[in-house]
Parts: sequence; structure tokens; C-alpha cells
Amino acid sequence: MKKKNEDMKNQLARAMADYANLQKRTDEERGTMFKLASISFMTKILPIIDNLKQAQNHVNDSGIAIIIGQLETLAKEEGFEEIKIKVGDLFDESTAEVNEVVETLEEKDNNMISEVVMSGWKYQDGTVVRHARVKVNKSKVNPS
Amino acid sequence: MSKIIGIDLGTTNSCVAVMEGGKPKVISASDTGKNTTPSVVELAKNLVGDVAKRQMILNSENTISSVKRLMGRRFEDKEVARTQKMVSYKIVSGKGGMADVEIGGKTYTPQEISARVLMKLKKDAEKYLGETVDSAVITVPAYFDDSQRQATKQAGEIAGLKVERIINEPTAAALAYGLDKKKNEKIAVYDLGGGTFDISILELGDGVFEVKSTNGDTHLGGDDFDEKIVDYIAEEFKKENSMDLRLDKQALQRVRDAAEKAKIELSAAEEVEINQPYITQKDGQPLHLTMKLTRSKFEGIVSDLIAQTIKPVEDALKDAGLKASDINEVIMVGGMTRMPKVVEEVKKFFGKEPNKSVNPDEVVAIGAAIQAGVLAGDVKDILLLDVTPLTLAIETMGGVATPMIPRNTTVPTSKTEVFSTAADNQTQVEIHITQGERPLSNDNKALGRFVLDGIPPSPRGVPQIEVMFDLDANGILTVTAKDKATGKTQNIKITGSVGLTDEEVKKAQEDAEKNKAEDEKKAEQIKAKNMADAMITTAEKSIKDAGDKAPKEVVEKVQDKVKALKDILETGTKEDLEAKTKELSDTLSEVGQAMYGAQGAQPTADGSQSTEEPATASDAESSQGKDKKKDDSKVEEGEVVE
Repeated sequence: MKKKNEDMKNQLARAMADYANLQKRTDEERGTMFKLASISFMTKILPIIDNLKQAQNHVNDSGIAIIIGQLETLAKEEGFEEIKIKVGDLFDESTAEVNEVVETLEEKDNNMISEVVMSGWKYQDGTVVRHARVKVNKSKVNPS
Repeated sequence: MSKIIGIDLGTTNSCVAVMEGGKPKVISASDTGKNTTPSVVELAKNLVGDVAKRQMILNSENTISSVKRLMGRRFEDKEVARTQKMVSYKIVSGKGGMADVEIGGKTYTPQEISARVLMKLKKDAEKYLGETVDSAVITVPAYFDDSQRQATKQAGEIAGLKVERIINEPTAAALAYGLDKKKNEKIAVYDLGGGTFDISILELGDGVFEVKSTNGDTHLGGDDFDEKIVDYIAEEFKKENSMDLRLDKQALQRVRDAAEKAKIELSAAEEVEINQPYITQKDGQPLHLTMKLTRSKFEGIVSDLIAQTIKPVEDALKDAGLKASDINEVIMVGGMTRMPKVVEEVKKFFGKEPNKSVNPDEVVAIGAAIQAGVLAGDVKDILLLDVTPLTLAIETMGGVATPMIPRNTTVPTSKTEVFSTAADNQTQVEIHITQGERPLSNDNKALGRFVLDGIPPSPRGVPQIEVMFDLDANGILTVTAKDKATGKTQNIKITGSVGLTDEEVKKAQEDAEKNKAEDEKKAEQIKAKNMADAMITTAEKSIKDAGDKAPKEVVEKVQDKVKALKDILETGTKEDLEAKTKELSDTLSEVGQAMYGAQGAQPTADGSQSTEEPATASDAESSQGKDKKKDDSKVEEGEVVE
């Protein structure tokens, strides 16, 4: 009986602690809810911005340029920005994903980005919304 | 004692879950927010999961994936040779002839590699729980032999986890579906994951699962399905444009993304559009990938892959000495089992609907967490929380059932609300407790009644009657009414009536649904009448309070409006009542203006307030002493406990 009582006490304490922790986390989660909703929407909009940019590369139309500008402003207002990655930067897996490896004879070019295939985006708190896709140089002499 | 986590250590992806408040909860990766983590490890920079996967192509010889295929296997094992063909890292013969991994001239055991994945999952769990985690239940395929199980256990220990138990993946899946509560069942677990297919036949007896047979294909999974769609899309594009998208890595990545998206969408939609504008160029002109893929076409493309899973199922049944019809339950595990065609084929084979309600990517980790919960003492029948199936309500003015404890509330619970009287000088209120979803008390099941008397005579709306509903874990309802002025208290304990059979609950819910429109209309009519009634009282009181301070013509105007509203109080439609109530309210504000500053603070001065807190007593009991005898008998019926 005593053991049963102690078991019950223990279980009650656990349940109450679980609940208290849940409450704390619910408060935190409420804060991140808005962020997640924005990110989810943004990830659906990004391919459209990419496509418009592709189109612009071909037709170079001033109207499309304005639309791209509007979409980018909107993204900025909502707290998103493009990750600044350029050719010659060292590859960083925290912001980019390797799309293709380009062999190079120059050891100094090893692990350097040779082309940004698709731009990466991040949220204002640093959360990567979409990793950039890049081509990376790999020196033939250095296997790492 | 800290929490024990449940881990599904998979070939392609891993997942961690924990019991919280008696329910399993899958913990998402702290870096990605995803519920599963790729079982990919890069040792030099200690990258695990998605981040390791992103640099895999660049650093393929140092990035380890599918290491589960090597766990506890000897170097000469056929599976090791097969794995070497599909991975870029080097597999070598290590201590005791076991298969090890060589990275940068140094050898690592598969246990050490798996430990990195386990460490990440442990860290994610600790971050989520806000406490240290040092024990785990880890799952392994049912076909794992002792050496492989031992290796998995060691991996846990290297990761700093005390492995409380190693359980079979199909057993974990069965636990997630609560099948351990059943008796003597034969269960088939169909697990089509990212890279492997497993079928297990289990037999349950006295709460213990016994693996009767296993079979499968260690190189068949969701990735093969993706490749089939990519090939189809690329071939179609080639037919039209004479260009092979597979040769352009940038285009191929976009086709892969589109193929995976299409595969997922086709589980719900009959047809998807694949649109990838500017996918490539030909003679300086842009080419766009636009095509439609129907579900039936997709099913045709992958039909041979689905068919490949059936032979192992037949063999497993044969080994277990069973027929398809002997199987009582079929469980679906693995992301690919979301595909309707897979479900259909499995259903056709076994002749019964498979269990697929638990997320197939998480079901094994959930089962592991449940097992962990049992070991930690979190899961015990005694603490299973129940919910109240129907709303518990109190009857208020006009016969309205005012909910106190809404249905689906987890018990034990209690709720307190303050009510008031419906008429001036009312000295008693009748508390009528009902159960059901209908808005009017008469349509619901009466659970009990009692009378609280001895309320000091006062204007309607002034007395404060505090009513408390307390429903304990055993379904015993105690209702207490207390007059806040005198402190006089009455209560009733209702046992038995609250617990209904499933049929009774279902009937009550169906009745509520069937009569919803009509009930709402009736409730609105009563509400309009209550509002009108309250407004009449307010108006009459205001005129009396104002006395000479209000201009005579305004007072006469108000009296006319009061009479007009009284005339239609019983017979008027909802719209008429609302219109006339509004007219009276507008006229009344003129009196208010005249006597502004002179009026005493009476709780009923605001008509809307008194209607928001409906008075408990119905009109029949409003006159003092009337039906006293009848009320007393009700008290006895309700088993009033002082």
C-alpha cells in the first residue's frame, strides 16, 4: 500500500512537471508559430521569384524587373533576405548545398564556390529558409 | 530519474520520441525542425544529419551513410560487399574480421559512426526536454542477429546512453498501434522505407510479441520510386526536345525536386502539374518542363516496384506457416506506405484494411517511446486520463442548457461560475443538471436537481450564486451551489449517471447533430426573449429610480415601449423581439441622460449584463414559496448531500 502510494505520488509529480514544462513550451511555441507560418509561405514563393529571374535573364523586360523588385521588397518586409554567397567564397554547408563538384588543378581553389546555381534565403533571426545550391571546386591533388 | 527516450535508428533516416503526459511525442531536430534526421555523418567536422547530407557530393569519401547495413557484420558478409558498391567511403576488415569504415587513414567501427547519430538525437531530446537524457530504448530490424543487436547497444553506450532495451522495429510499430492490449493476434508489419523493405510476421500471446518470420529486400525503397519518376520525366522531355536533362546536374536536381513533390502530392491528388520553367536551353532558346502526371500513370511507372514487395510477403507467411487470411492486423510503416496504390495492394493481398493512422515515418520511434515509458513507469493504466463524452450543463432562464463542462474535457476537472436570480425577491433557485449536446435542457438527459433556498429577497440579478461542477477521474460529478451573501451551501453527488455506454453517447451526439438547426433557432428565440425580459426590468427600474428627475414625456415614451415589448414577449418572433428590445433600449438611454450621476450602482442596471449571466431559476420557481413542495421532492430525488 505504501509503495503504491509512493508510486502514485511519483506519477503525480511527473504529470505535474510535464504539464508545467508543456505550458512553458506552449508559450515559446506560440512565438515561433508566426515565424514558421511565414517561412512555410516564403518557401513556396521562392521558386516563383527564381523563375521570374530566369525569365528576366532571357527577355530582359523592365516590367518583369519591377515585379521582381516588388517581390523582393515584400520578402524583406516580412523579414527574409538573400544569403550573400558569391563565386570564390569557401563552401559552407550551413548555408549551402553542393549541387555539382567541379574538378580543378589549382589547389588554392579547393572547396571554393565556382557558381551559385540557386540563391539561398534566410529569416531575420538567421534561420536558413532555403540553402543555396552551388557548384564547388575540388582540387585533383587534394582528395579532402 | 530522467526520461527514457525511444529511438528509431534507421538506415536512411532516424527519429526520436519521448513520453510526455502519458502520450508519445516525436521530437523535431533542433537545426531543421524536421521530425526525422538523415542517418548521415561527416567525421572531420562532426556533421550529422541534413548538414552532413548537404556536403555529401563534395566530400563523399568522408561522409558516411547507410552505416546500419554494416552494423555487427563481418567483412566477408555479402551485404558488406553489396554496400561497398553503393557508398563512396571505404569499408575495411577491422578487429576480429568485422566490417569497419576507413576515413583519412583511420578506421572507425559502425558503432562509433552510429553513435554520432544517436548523440545528435540525444542532444535534440535534451534541448526539447530541458533536462539531461541518459537512457534510451533503441529499435532494430527483426532480422538483426545477436551480434548486430550487441553492436547497436554499444553504439548507444558510446553515445552516452544506457540502452534500457533493444526492441524489434515491427514490435515497436505494433506498440504504437496499441496492439499489445489485444489477445493472441497474428500481425503483419509491412515496412517500406527510404532504402529497405521489411516484412515481419508477429504473434502476440499474453502481451508478448514473438517474431514468427521476417523477409524483405534490403535494396528496395522510396529512393527507387523517385528514380523511376525522374527517369519518366526525363524520357518524356527527351522525346519532345531531344535533350537529356539527366546530363545537366543543375537541371537534374530540379527534376528530382519536382519528382519528389509530385510523388507526395499524388498520394492525395489524382493529377499533378510539373512546372519547371527555364529548365535548360537549346540553341540559345529557353526550354520549359511542363507536364501533367496522373496518379494512374505514376502507379503504372512504379507497379513493378510494388509487385517486388509481394513475393517477400508470401515467403514470410510461408515461413510462419500461415495463410494471408490468418493475419488479424496489418501495420504500415515507412514513408512509401502513404502511396494509395501500396495500401491497395497490401489490402488486396491480406483481404483487410491495413492500420495506417499513425505517421509511418514516426510509428517506430513512437513505439520505442511507449516501451521506454513502460520501463520508466510513465505508462500505467491507472493514470490513463479519460475525457467526458458529453457536455455537462446547468439549466438557466428559459430552459437553456448552459454548458459547465464541455464534452471532450479531460477529467478530473472542475469549473465554477456565478449565476443569479431571474425574478425580484426570488428566495430559492433550482439547480437542474443535464448531460447532452442539445441547447435546451429538456432535450438532454437530466442527471439531478436540487434547490438552494434561503436567499435574502433582493432585485433580480443581485444575488450571487456560485455553482461548482467537479468531475473526478472516476466520473463522479459533484455539483455545489453557494449563496455568496449568506454562505449557504447545497450539493449533490451524482454517480453512475455520468458514465454512459458507447451507444448512448453516440445516440446523444447524433441527436444533437440531427436537430442542430432547429435547436439553434429555439435557443436564439429564448435568448431574444431573455434579452427582452431583462430590458423590461431594467427600464422599469430605471424609471422608478429616476423618479421626478426624468422628463414626463420621456417616461411616457419608455412606458409605451415597455408595454409594446411586454405584449409580444410570449408570442413575438425573434426578429420582432430584438427590434422592440432595441427600440426600448434606445429610448431608455434618454432617461439615463436625464438622471446621469444620480443613479446608484445596481448590477442589473445594464440589461446586457444580466442576460450574459443567465439566472438559474426558471420562471416557474420565480415566485416565492410557490411549488415549494414539488421542489422539495426534487431535492430528494437528486440525493442532495448537505
